[in-house]
Amino acid sequence: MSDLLSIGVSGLMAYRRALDTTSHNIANANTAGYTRQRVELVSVQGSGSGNGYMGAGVDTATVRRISDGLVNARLQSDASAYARLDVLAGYAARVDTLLSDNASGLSRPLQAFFDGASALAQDPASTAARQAFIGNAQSLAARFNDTQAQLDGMESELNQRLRNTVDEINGLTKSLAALNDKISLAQGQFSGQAPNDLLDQRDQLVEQLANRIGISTTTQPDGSLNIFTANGQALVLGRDATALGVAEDHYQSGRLDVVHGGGARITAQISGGAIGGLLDVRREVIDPARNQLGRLAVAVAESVNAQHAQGLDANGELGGPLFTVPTGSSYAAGGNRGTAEVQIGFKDLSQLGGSDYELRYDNGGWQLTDSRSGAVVPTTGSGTAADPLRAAGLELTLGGTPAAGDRFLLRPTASAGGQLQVAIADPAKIAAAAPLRVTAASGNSASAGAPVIKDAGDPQLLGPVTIAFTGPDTYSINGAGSYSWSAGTPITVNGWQLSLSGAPATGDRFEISRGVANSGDNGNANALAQLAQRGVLDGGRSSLGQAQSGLVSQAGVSAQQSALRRDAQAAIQAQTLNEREAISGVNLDEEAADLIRYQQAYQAAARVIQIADSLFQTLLQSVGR
Amino acid sequence: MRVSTAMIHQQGLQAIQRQQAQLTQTQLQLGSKVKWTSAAADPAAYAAAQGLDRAVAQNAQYKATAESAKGRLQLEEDVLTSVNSLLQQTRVLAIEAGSGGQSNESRAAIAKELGSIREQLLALANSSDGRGRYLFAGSADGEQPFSWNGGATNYAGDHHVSQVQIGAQRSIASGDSGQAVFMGLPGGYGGVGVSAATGNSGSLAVTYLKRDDGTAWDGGNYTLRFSAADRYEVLDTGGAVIDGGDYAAGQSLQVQGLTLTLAGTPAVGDELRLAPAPSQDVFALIDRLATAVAQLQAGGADAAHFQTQLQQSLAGLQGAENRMIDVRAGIGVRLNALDDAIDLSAAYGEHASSTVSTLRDLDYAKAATRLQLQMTALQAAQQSYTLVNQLSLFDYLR
Repeated sequence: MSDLLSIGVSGLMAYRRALDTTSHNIANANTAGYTRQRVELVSVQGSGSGNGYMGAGVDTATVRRISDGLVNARLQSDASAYARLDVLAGYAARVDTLLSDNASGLSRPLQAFFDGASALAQDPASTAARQAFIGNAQSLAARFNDTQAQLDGMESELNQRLRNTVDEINGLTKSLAALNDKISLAQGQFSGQAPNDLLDQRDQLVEQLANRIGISTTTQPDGSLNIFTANGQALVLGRDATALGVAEDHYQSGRLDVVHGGGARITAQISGGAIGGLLDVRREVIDPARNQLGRLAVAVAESVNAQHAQGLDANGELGGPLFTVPTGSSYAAGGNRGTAEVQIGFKDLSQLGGSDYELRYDNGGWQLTDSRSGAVVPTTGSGTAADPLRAAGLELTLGGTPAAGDRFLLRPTASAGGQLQVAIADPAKIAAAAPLRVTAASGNSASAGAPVIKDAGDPQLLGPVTIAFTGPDTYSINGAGSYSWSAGTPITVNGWQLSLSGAPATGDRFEISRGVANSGDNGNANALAQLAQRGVLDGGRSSLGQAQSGLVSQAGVSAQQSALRRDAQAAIQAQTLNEREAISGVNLDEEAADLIRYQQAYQAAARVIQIADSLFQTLLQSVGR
Repeated sequence: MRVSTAMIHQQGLQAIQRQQAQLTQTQLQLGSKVKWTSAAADPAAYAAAQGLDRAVAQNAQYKATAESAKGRLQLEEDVLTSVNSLLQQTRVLAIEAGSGGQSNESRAAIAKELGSIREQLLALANSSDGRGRYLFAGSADGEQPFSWNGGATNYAGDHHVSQVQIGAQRSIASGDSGQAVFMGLPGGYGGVGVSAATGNSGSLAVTYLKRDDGTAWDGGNYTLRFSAADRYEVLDTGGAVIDGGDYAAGQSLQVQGLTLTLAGTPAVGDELRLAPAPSQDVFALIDRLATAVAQLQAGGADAAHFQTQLQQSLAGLQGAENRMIDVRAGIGVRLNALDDAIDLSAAYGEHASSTVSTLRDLDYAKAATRLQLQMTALQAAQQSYTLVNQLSLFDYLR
């Protein structure tokens, strides 16, 4: 009788627990990260006799948390990958919009600048046209400055996010260490029974951590979880957490490095998570955009200035620089022992790239490497002011004395876009006219085209020159010398070239003289307008407009690729989440069915007690009679 | 597969959000009339469209430049039309002055009129280009190019002609220098001047001189002297007789590669001088004509002297008229080229714009259909969400 009663009670107890657990599941159906629980029932072996072993009822072995460790691990790595791509795609889309939007992009002001040069060529003496040309140049420079400011703003925002994310990571690892402590305590307390809801909490935190940085985990026998960065630096070991920090890089160039605990820089080893995404954004999105923008700014300044210097302004003087030419930035490494300094100048636009470089002094010589690819860039020259180090379109002038092992970070174009300024405010200083004019003597057999400037720096450039033919194929210059003339070969004097058409005859004279002040000529304005079509970058293959399109499409491709990869990762993540939900998620219908099932079992167990009672009564009545 | 309740909600919601995102994209396209607003949507097409935008802008520049040059050349042509009519007026006056029945007084009036024509011509040569610059001054067009100093013209401009870019490989002169229009006209009869000696007493006049073909004329100075009324000899600068022949009235003489047409009869000892004539400008030409016309005449020798001068001026005038024809023909050729360039730039610009349009502009019919489809899909997602979530076993627990 007591067996029946105790069996009934064990059923009541067990199904009460099962109903409790089902209710817990129902209550947590919408709790993020909740893992459904099941009461595991086991039958109780009773005492044996000659008649065999009698069962002694039911017991709850444990409350099991239904989860799959492998799916959870995948969920972590998916979260890392998605968070990284989400950050990358977000910034890439912003840079893309900045560069390609009609209102904020460079294409309109660049075109307007050349339109202004063309309008100036139509009416070169007009002050209004000159003023408009300066205005267009200013808008162009301002757009470069604005774009640079936007990109710089993104970089400082990125630095701030890096700091915040590192702080969040530190908070999470601290909480995880504390949870590890609680879990191992709880597990020890009840002979290895898992504290299910604490485990859920920890999985939640681990996922949040994985959102911020790529991690790997190992579970210890005491139930605690050790957490490492993807490359193996420990973040949490049992109940101890190691904090990450941020520090300026070696070169103090304004970039932040992530440091681990004592001070090891782990920036290069970090992958995945928001922090990995932020580092990718810096390397793949902002740096290339700034470098390319700066390269374009340098190209605009150098090529326009070179052409402007080949014309005469309204005062009859050779044109000065229209734009101030940006200068490159160089940063000495913190541990440099020498006193060397690097000045970066631009020499050859057609060779100019958009890279950053590292310059290193070793074995008595300088070595230049591309920061991104690590490839050695061959250089010529010695580095003195008279013979600068030349490589990749740059001219590096080195001052001071270097020590072996000294290093420099060279960022030639990274900040150039913000330095572009218009140097001329006086409309009269716009050099619209060609500097030289030809007066052909009447009766000449041959005719001359306009002189073409080959070397605007020639000191005798504007000096008067008379070319007189002393024979059909010989000529003198300023009455002296006898030079031979051959058809198709231009006559080169004082940094300019004169081409003749037709066959010259003895006595033909051409006087080349400096253009007048307040000239109505448009020779140089034409050349400035034609600069729009001239290939100046990439070995002379890309015009300024094409380089601008290149910059935009580079940002566009980057935005497109990163968005596609993010969407793909989102689909993968959704799939894994579904798998996790399929295993661990609460289905209310299922719980309702369980409620009915356990309620019925509970009722049946209660009936067993009632039967036991009625059996007992029956016995009492029969005995009492 | 086991499905959790949270998942049913989540997936239903995601389906709705996906549809809404697509719908918003279509709505944005319909609102902005373009397929994409940033390069990320289609980087290659975006770069291509930018390249075409540049081509459109470039061709618009060529067109604007060509139209501006056209205006300037038409202005120049208008001025030259006026110059031409003044030259014709000059010719009429010269012929009138040379006709019989003119008195010294009437000729003085004609000379005065010629002087005023010269001034009008000078004003035309100093025409403005409508932008405050001088039309015929080359590159030095900030200063008045032509000034008359009482006997000769001073040209302050230069030979330079501005070129304007009207196509990728095509530039054209947007004007002519004053030098090329008004200066450097051949002197005398195509560079050879003839004059009657001051002491001539006969009625001999030179009415025409023609340079024979080839290089027979050596550019030297010669004197043609009539040793008798029917006999002439040719003297070089040293006074040596190098040629000679008979002369009959009305006969042409062949001298040193020149053919002289003569009228009247020479007196013995009358001389004609042949010399290379320096190039002249149109103002000096008219001034010389006016001076000749104003000269008082008292007899046959004076009249003959005047005729010689008059005929030579008329030949010079012919040279000036020919120059105008040449310059205006050049302008006509350039105006044609400009019209051609304007058409070409417009056509190229049109092609580029239509290509840009196919790359970038939205196909409205397609977009509207898509919008309809997406709205239907969103509705379906919303309805299925509400229907599916109405099902719960708890509803049957009583």
